[in-house]
This record gives sequence, C-alpha cells and structure tokens, in this order.
Amino acid sequence: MKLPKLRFFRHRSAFDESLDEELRLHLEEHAEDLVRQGIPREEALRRARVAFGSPARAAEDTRREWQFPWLEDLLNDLRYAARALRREPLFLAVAVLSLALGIGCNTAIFSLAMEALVSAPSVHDASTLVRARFGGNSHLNLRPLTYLQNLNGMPVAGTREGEVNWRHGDEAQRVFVMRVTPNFFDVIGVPVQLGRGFHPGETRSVVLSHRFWQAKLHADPAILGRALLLDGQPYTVTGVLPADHRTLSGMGFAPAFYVPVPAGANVNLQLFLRHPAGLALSAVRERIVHLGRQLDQVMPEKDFKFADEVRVNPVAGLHLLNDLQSVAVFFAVLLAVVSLLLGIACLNVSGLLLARASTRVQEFAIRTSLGAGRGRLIRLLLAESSLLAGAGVVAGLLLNLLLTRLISQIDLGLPVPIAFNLQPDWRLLAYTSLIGLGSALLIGVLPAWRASHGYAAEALKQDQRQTGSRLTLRRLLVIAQVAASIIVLTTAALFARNLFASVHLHPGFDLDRIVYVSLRLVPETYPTVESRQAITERARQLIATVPGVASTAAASMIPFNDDATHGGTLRTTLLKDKIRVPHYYSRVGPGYFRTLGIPLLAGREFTTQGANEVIVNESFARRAFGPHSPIGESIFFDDRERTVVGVVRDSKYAWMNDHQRPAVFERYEMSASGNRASMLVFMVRAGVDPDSLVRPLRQAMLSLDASAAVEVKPLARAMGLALLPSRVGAGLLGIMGVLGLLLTTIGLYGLMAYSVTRRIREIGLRVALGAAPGRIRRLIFGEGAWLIGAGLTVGLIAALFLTRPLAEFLVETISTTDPLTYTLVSLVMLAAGLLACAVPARRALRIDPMVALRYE
Amino acid sequence: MSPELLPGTLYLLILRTLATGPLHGYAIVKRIKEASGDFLLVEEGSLYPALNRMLVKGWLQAEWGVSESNRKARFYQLTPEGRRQLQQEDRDFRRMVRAIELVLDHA
Repeated sequence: MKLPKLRFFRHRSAFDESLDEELRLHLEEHAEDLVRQGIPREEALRRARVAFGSPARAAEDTRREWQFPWLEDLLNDLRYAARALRREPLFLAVAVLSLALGIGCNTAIFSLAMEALVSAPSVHDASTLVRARFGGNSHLNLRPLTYLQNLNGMPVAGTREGEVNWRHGDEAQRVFVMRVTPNFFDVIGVPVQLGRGFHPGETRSVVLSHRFWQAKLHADPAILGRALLLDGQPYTVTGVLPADHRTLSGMGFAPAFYVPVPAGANVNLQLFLRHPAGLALSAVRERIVHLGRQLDQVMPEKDFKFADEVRVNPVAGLHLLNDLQSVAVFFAVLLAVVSLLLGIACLNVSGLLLARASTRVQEFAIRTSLGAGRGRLIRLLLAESSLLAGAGVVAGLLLNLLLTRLISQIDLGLPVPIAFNLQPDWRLLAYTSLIGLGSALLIGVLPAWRASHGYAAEALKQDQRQTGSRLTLRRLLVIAQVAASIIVLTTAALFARNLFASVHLHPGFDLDRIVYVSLRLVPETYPTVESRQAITERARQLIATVPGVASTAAASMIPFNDDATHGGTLRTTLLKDKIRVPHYYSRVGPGYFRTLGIPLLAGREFTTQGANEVIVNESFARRAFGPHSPIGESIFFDDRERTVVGVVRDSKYAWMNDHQRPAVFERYEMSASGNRASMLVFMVRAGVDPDSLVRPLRQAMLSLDASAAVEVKPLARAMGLALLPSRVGAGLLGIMGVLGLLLTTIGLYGLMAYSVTRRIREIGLRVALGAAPGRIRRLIFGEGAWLIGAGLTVGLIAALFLTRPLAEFLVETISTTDPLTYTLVSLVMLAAGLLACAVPARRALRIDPMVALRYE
Repeated sequence: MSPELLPGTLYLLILRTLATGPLHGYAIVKRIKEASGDFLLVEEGSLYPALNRMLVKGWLQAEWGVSESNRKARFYQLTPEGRRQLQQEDRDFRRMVRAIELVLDHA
C-alpha cells in the first residue's frame, strides 16, 4: 500500500492542480443540475457551494491521502528557513563562514591523519599480504630470504629503503630509492601506469615514480627503454608508477625509483609474504614460525634464532598505529584541537540562533495558538539549524579540497622525500557527514530546547525584560567558547614557545660551527674495502687542508638528519643480569667529539689503532654502570664484547627533544657492503663562517672523485627534520589558535551587543538619573569581564590537564604547566574580550535617554 | 434534512455505485441520493477524501473524460481489487445488520 503512495508523492503537484479543478467542476455540475430543475443560476451556485462546504477543507483532507505529512512539513520548514536566512545575509554569512572554517580544518586534518597513518599501500589484495619479522629483528638478510623464495610455499619479497648516485649531464645527485627483490612486482602486485615491473633475474632495470618522471625527466613519453646512470651503471627504465602510488613503508615516503637487489648481495631487507586467502592471522603466523624453524636448521645464526620472537603484521589497517605511536598521538592532538575549533564555531552559530529565536517569540506564540505542538516547534528549529549545518558542510568540503591540495604540494625540506597524496574518498565523506550531523545537533538542540518550553499567550505581550539568572543559556555558550578557546590557545602557545626554544636551545655540541660533507661514491670505482678505506683517508686529509677547517672526523650518522636506535639486551662486567638499554648508535672516527665540541668526561677518543672499543655518554654510563666509572669495563652486546674507553657528555643526537638519551659510539669503519658501503660522511668544524666553507669543500671533494654525488651543508641549515614537529605544531596550531580566538571574539561581541540592546531602557534610565559615563562603561565591561573570567577559570583548569600528553613533543625546557604560557594566553584572551566589549560599550554611552525610555 | 451515514458505510456505497460503471464525483452523489429514494445525502466535503483514499489503496482508478453536460470531469471506476473489496464489505455489512436485527427482535 505504501508503494502507490510513493508514486503519488512524486506527482503530487500535478495531483494538486487537478484536484482544484475537479472540485470546481463538481460545483458547476451540481449548479447545472439545480438550474435544470428550474432554479436561477445565481441561487443554484449558492446552494451548490453551501452543500459542498469548505472547498479548502475538502482539498486539504483529500491531499492528506497522498501526502507524507511530516515530509511536507519538513520541506515547508526548509523553504521557510531558507527564505528567512536570505533576508539576513550578514547572519547567514557569519554562520556559514564559521562552520566552513570549523568543518574545513577538521576534515583536512582528518584527511592528513588518514593518509599518514592508515592509508593502504598500492598493492594487490592487501588482505593476503603480511610483513614478517624473524628473531626479533626488523630485517632479514638476503641469503635466508632467497632460501625462503626457493621453497615452494608462500611467495616472498623483500624491500629496503636506500640511496643511489644518479648522474645526469655533469651533475651527480643523491636520490632515494626502494631496493626490492626482482620478484617484488609479481608478488606484491603493485599497479604500474606505464610499462611493467621487473622480471625475475633482472638486475639493471628501474621503475620510476610518477613524481620523478614528471619533475626530473619532463614526463618524457618515450621514457621506456631509456637508460639512467645509477651508481655508475646504466639502468633501463622498464616502467613508471601511477601518481597515487603509496609505498609499503607508509608515512608518505616517496622514493624516486625502485631498483632490484642484485642476487647474492649482503643486504638486509624487510620481508613481505603473500599467504592464501581466508587464513586467520594466527594461522599465518604459525606457518611463518615453521619457516623460521626451517631456517634455523639450514642456516643457523649465532646471535639469535629465526623462530624466536616472530612478528607478523598485515600491511594495511589500524595495526600500523603500533609502529607509529608518537605520530598517531600527534595527529590525535591535532584532531582534538581542531574539533574544539569546530565546537567553538557551532556554539557561535547556536548563540546567534538563540538570539534570533528570542526575537521570534511572537511568531512562535501565534504558531502555538494555531495548534503547533512543542514537537512541531522543535522540528521547525531543527530544520533551520540543519539547513545551516548543511550549507556549512558544503562550504567546509570546498575548503577541505582547497586545503588538501595545498598540503599535497608542500615541500617540507626534509632529508628523506615525503609527499602526501590527499584524495577525497568515502572515509572523508563519512566523517564529514558525521561531524555535519553532530554540528547540526549541537547548533540546533539549544534553541529547540528553549522553544520547547512553549510560548503561551503572555508571550504575546511585549515585555522583553529578562530579570532571570546571570547564567542564561547564551552566557553559558560564550563561557564555553572562551574555555575552549583557552585550551586551543594554550596548545598553540606551548608549540610556539617550543619552536622558539628548539631553535635557540643548545644541542650539547657546537651546532653553529659544524658543516657536514657527504659523498656518495660509485661502487664500481671502489670494489674492495681497502680501496674505500684509502679514499676515506684521502678525503679526510684533503678536508683537513682546506683553509678555515679547524678539524674533521668521519661519522656514520649526520646529527638531526639520521637516527638509529639499537635496543638489544646487554650485560656488563659489573652487572651479571641482562638489561635493556635502548640507545643511539653511531660509528665515529678519531677526533669526532673534539670536532663537534662535545666534552670528554673521562677516558679518551678513538685512535687509528685499537679494536672492539666503544665510547658511551653519561646517561648510558649511569644506566649500565651506576656510579662506577665504566672506563676499562666491558659491555657484552649479545655476544660481542666491547671495552669502554671514554665517556662523553650527553647531547642531542637526532631530535630536539632528546634528553638524557643513552648513546654508544663505535669506531668508524667502512662497511664491507650494504647501503652505506659507498657513502662517506665527514663532520667538519669550521674556524670561520661555515657558509664560506661550502664551496671550497665541495670543490675539494669533486677534485677527489668527479663522479661522486657530493653534498655539503652547514648543519644549522639541515635542521628541517629535527624541527619538523615543532614547526608543524606551531604552524598549524598557531593558525587554529588565531581562528579560535577570532570566533570566540565574534561570539562574545554578539552577546555583548545583544545585551546592550536588551538593556537600552535600563541604561537610558540610569543616564537620566545622573549616572556618569564611567558607570555605564563599568556596567558593560563588568558583564564582559565576568563572562571572560568564568571562561578563563574553566579553560585554564581544563588546559592544565588536557595538555599533559603534549609533553612528549616538547623540549625539556618547556613544561606543560609552565606559568608563563598560561599568563600569556590569559592576557591575549582578556585583550580580545576587551576589544569585543569596546564597540557595544561605545554604543551604550551614546544612548540618548529620551530615545531610550521610549524604546520598545 | 441530511441524515448521517452509518460510519464506515461510505466506502461501501461508493463501491457499489461504481459497480455498474464509471462515474464522476457529483454523479456518484446524485446516484446514491436517487437510489436511496432521496434519503442518503453524501456529505460532499468528505466525498473526495474518500475517493482518493480508495485510489491510493488501489480499489479505484481514475481518468479524465467528458460529462453529460459536456464538461471535463474525472471519472472513477472499480479495479478488480475494488470489486473484491465490494464483495467483502457487502458480506460484512449484511452480516452486521442481521446480527443487530437478531438482537433487536429477540433480546
């Protein structure tokens, strides 16, 4: 029975018209009938009309048969609301703009968070792909990996992030790549836009990323089959990846190409496995542990067992958050703040609606007397707020598209290529609908609840004087806004101060004097370890002769650009039990600490002789040796024994908020093979302005080997990665803080202006009775101050608790309960509040008592 | 004087009236009046709501045509389902009347 009704619904306007006509014709038929009986036409028509009754009533009753009354009401309400809003363009603009800002920023952060944390890599059927880790290690050597590949079981592929020297024309450049086993494209099923992936056995092929192809090769359409000179060898381009390719590494890592790992190379790779469909993760893990046992039998390792500590993770989905915990927390903080912003915007609009509702008391009273119930009035107001929310959502989505496009194009200036490809998808739409709905409810529930108290006949009288409590609904809203704004501002202030402190914080070594020199050699030119050691020594000597160089030393890590944490268990000669001390690990040459300006607290630096020596920092010494001097003691890292020859002062190694981080240094030795085998890095202490050394050092290195990819940079200019969290946090949160403050000021202004209007008669009376202007000013500012004070109190207390999780991102000199921050924030809020009250106060002063007392 | 119809019988009367052929709204009123010996006067204001409800329920279908007085008019006629409904309501009504008569005569 419902179905025909729906059919009628679609044609209802046609039915409406024909109904009116039908009723008219009915009357005429009746009249005609009476005329035939001899009654004059006028009288006949009159009788026919009387007999029929009210056509309007009949028409309405008839229409009800094919209408859904609630739907008709809703459409009417929406039309009415739209008309009313059109008549107040300023209100509409402010409301939609506030909502657009709130929703746009919120969804943009959401898109970014989704992309960075849970976006699926570009693989075929991610549900049957897992990452496996054996023996508690994150990587597996190529030899056991090849063994697993040759077993006739689950297909296995390996990947590793790396670098190559790309030579084009006269320039050599260091480029980031993904090294993969040749069966990678087959096993993982990565979609390719042009050409193809690798065939098994290919070693000199390369697959380009879309970005590289466009930016560096000008999107050459005939690129397939051409050769690129990588690490001194020609590599044939076999394919180009699509623009929306996402790597298995995640986090927006965007290498320039994929190259195959040559068979037999001694590299460690991340392991990916494709398992049969329909298996639970535990079953997959069982099979992989079994593989581990096979490896233990065929090629056992001294330090660990493959079958121990096996970890198996899916390649997509929320589990990734385990690995990226601090990043996830960061995004959670951003989302929380941006949701507060949206809340402030919604409260603004709600307050505005409440103000409008109070001017429509008459209208509601009339509606009530015409038979509208409470539910009907609530539906009316909810329709209005839904319309506003809908407009805000649409505008917010547009803003989101704009913002995400901007974000996608930002170059963060990091040492590792990271790019985000933000596309709108169903998750975004679902989230936007959710917050749109939430906003509509938040906006509409308060005015609707107010209206539901009903408007009786008394309301028709004009008396608008409210002598009610100080805590009216609108005031509560503004107090809530102020509190939320305080929380946002506090977060922003903390990050801003953090950024300032980070830039000025002493990192424990002479950052401003250091220049780093890195050479990526062509491996073929230096095939033996001896040749590489020779070139390293020659490079070091050559650097030392450049005028202005105070000292230099080799290193495996560039501070603030590289990070490596070793976390194994260790024993010492003083401690019989094994302990776990996760520590920063680096290999450094003789004179490293002197070059960097890190004080030696005990013992000595490395020399050109000696073996199995380590130098530790004071935090490590404290953890592993307590109050005893570690000099001369031994540490057993798994089964490797090392003797401690020196203790250095703590410094920062990779991040600005490194604080008392344990560190262990071994003597620099050329790796036999692997990623860093052809990479030389030197730290140079400049006796003069570091910038002036860049060119001479570069030329010196190129004179040594013209085919090397040389990078020379003062360390102070390479702080992009280290300062990233502070910069991003300060930037984003700063913007949000300003927006929140702006919205709150507008909300406060709105309330104060309304308050003055409401009290015009009262103020006129006071002035007529002789009140001084100062008294009037105090009246207005006093009310504003009370509101701000209440909001400040709530906000500051909330901020004290809610900003605790931020401590992880802050450097040690900034604490989340630092009084200076809170004082600053309070002052800013007070200033904004004063500004918001200023204009209404001026208006209050200008009130002419004669006019005011007659004001209705 | 226009006596009120027994509640619920309007549909029955309309269905029966249309059983002999399609009629437009006023003609239905007129036919019922004449067939009942000028006794039953349908409340014209409630005619069209009833007609449209029966339309929605699928008992009737409607078409525009030309009336006897050469005017445009909308004619209603029974659908097969309407016919079934007529039989059902006829049966139910007569049963009800008999029951009431029994009570009045013998209680």
